[in-house]
Amino acid sequence: MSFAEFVHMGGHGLYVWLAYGSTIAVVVALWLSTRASGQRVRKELKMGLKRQSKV
Amino acid sequence: MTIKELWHRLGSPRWFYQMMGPWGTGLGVAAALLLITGTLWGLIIAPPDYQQGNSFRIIYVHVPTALVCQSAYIMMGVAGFLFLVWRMKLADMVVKVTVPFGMVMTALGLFTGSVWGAPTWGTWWEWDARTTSMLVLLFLYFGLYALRQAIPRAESAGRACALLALVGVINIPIIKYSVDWWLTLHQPATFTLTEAPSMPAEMWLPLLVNVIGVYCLMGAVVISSLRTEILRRECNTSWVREELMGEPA
Amino acid sequence: MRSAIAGQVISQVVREWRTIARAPIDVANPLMFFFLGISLFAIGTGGEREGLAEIGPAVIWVLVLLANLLSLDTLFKRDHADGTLEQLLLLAQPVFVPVLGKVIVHWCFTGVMMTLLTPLSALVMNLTLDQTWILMLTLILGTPSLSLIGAIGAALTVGLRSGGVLLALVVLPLYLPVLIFGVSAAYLAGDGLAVTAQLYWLGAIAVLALTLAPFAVTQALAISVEQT
Repeated sequence: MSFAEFVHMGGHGLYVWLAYGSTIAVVVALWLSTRASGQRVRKELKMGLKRQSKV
Repeated sequence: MTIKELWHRLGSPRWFYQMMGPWGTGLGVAAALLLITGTLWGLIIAPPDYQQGNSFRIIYVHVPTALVCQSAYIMMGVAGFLFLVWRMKLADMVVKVTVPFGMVMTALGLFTGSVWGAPTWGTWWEWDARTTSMLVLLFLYFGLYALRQAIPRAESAGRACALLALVGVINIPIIKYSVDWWLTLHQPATFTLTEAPSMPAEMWLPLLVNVIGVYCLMGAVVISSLRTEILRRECNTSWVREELMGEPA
Repeated sequence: MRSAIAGQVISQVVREWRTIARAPIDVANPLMFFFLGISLFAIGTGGEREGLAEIGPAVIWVLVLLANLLSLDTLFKRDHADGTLEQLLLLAQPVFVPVLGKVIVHWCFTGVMMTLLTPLSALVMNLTLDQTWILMLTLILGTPSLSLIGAIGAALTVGLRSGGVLLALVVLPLYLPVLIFGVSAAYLAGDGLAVTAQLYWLGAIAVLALTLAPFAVTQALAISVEQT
């Protein structure tokens, strides 16, 4: 099986890649945003604590 | 550790935060490995279906997402019950962090289903039973999300959403039944608990891998967002202060 | 004890009825909306008689849902604004009595009234006599569930500024089974088929809602009162 055949998916390439692409994009985005919000909250809280300790 | 001890410990967000860090990472790694394996297996190695050809491969992304968003709602209903009856703070947070995850997964399940429907049924949207109940599930998630946004006090928002999640869980079987009975076109469920799958193993094994993978993903996402939520809510306690100061910047 | 609770519910119903009778426009508005909506559909589709009969049962049922939804807005609002609700929750024994009374009266003024108006709307939508009867039967069986389930949503959103749209988002998905069984019964009746199963289902949903919803509504009211 050549790479072109694999991409073509027997004529169903559009559907298969649309479904896989959207799923992969959404799952990766979900994971990244979960991590990012965690890091943001930690950072904000740490800044708050530093400010408190200075006062 | 006995169940009773676990129960009491779950009442303490601090214990959960400190215990669950490695669990979140572990589940995340497991989810990544399983999903990559299952997806590649399904894309490359699994044979095409003799009727549907290669469009059949969409099953490996569609079924896991469609399964996990229903489980997420049920988990939310159980958590809502725990919060209403025992006022367990952690359960409220579970309800809160599951809504966005479930909403995204439901939307994804609907989208991949629609993409699969195009070559298989010859239409991008069909008012079929399972499609429709997924759509209703999405609306239920919307309602929960909107309700939480609309109530300013966090405590009240938590209880209101817990109650709504519980009402939703009681309704889901009735909705599913009524819709099933009104519109039916879908192929029967791939996995049932009581029967062996009707497809050959080389087709359902990658699906099983992806289903387990997506449940690990749910675990990882929920645990990670729960830990964030715990920090946010307990930010004035001394243990959070120590925890944050101890961590490398 | 049992009859004592029934008596309490009845006296609550009477009290509620009197309050509403003083401001009949609150009752009339949703009904006028119901009839207006149906007419809009008939006019919008060009008044073609066969087409109307085709969509008739669905249009009537959807308008029932929407009119019901609109009327829910006033269910607890006044009592919440003047503090009566708080007192009810503190003093009533058991708490679900006033709630059940309110919901029953709400049903009488929405569900029952719209059922009575159905022959008129069926005429507008060009339905057969059989379909009209079945539609009325499903409405009288289905609307109690709408009032009961809707009351949960109304109770959850009573103190909120974004009440109306939010209420629709919360409540409408939960109305779906009632809509499906109600509409499908009318369509089957149009084809001359038996509709017993649908009627049983509507009845079962109503009983389930009657059993569980009052407790959910009291919980929801407690949450809403607490936050103000």
